[in-house]
Amino acid sequence: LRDSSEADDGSLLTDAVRALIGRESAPRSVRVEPLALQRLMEALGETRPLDVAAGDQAPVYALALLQPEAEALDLPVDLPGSLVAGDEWEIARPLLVGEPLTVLSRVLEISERLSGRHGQMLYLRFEWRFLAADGALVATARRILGRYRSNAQEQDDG
Amino acid sequence: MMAESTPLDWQRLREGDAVASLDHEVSLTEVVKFIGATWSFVRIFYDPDFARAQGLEGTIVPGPLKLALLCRMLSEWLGDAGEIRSIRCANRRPDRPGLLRCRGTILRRYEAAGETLLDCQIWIENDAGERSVTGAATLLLR
Repeated sequence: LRDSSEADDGSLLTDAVRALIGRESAPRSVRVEPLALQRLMEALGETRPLDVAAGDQAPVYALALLQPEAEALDLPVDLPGSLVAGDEWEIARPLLVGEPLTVLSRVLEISERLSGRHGQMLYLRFEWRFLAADGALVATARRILGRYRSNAQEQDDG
Repeated sequence: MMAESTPLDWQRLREGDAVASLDHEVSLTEVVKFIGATWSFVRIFYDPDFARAQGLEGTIVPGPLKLALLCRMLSEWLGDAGEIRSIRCANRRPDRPGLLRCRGTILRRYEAAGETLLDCQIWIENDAGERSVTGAATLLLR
């Protein structure tokens, strides 16, 4: 059965989906919280001391704490399954624990894959730009996220 | 644990040299800690029955966790001698919790705007010797 949100030709790349491209989120305030970073470092088996404090230089992977909403994007097509196809982090200057940052996120591009292990899929390329209080760029993160129909009756919540 | 333990002469690093390796046993507990810290509760990461219903052999390791491990490898190797300028990776195949082998080699050493930079190829190997993650990083040497 065809999903009512598909285009007439069966494509998932409908006008409503295309309209997401380039749309920028409202600015949001984030920061690398010491406790969250300590828990992340512990999860990664860090060998360096875990007692981080505000003002310390955060490891690059602390960006993973600040970009969770890609999976939560409300698509106008029913594609509950998700997978991270790739990630990219660019560091303009050191990321500091506790530093207030403004993040702007947007969808850079969306493409469709017609077949594969997960069947028909959409690939969405996201970008987050993290700005310091003076507006200077601190870091940029990009992610390619695949969205697909779940194989299971109970749907993925990612 | 890090395989590389002897001090490096950073000026002697050249194309083709290996960067330090990192072998890390990722447990399901570590995966759950990671998805809790990053608030990314995708069920194939923590629910074995759900993962199998998705056609997987069981739960898998999140791609961002594997990227973070590659960051950890490079940061520990560099120490105070440098820092990561950029890193990117593609997730080629799923990894079950278990031993992940992070590896890398230097592709290019060059000067730009008065800085010494290293372009590196990085990857993760699974138990079968397959590269489940491939990517690249640019490092600044101080």
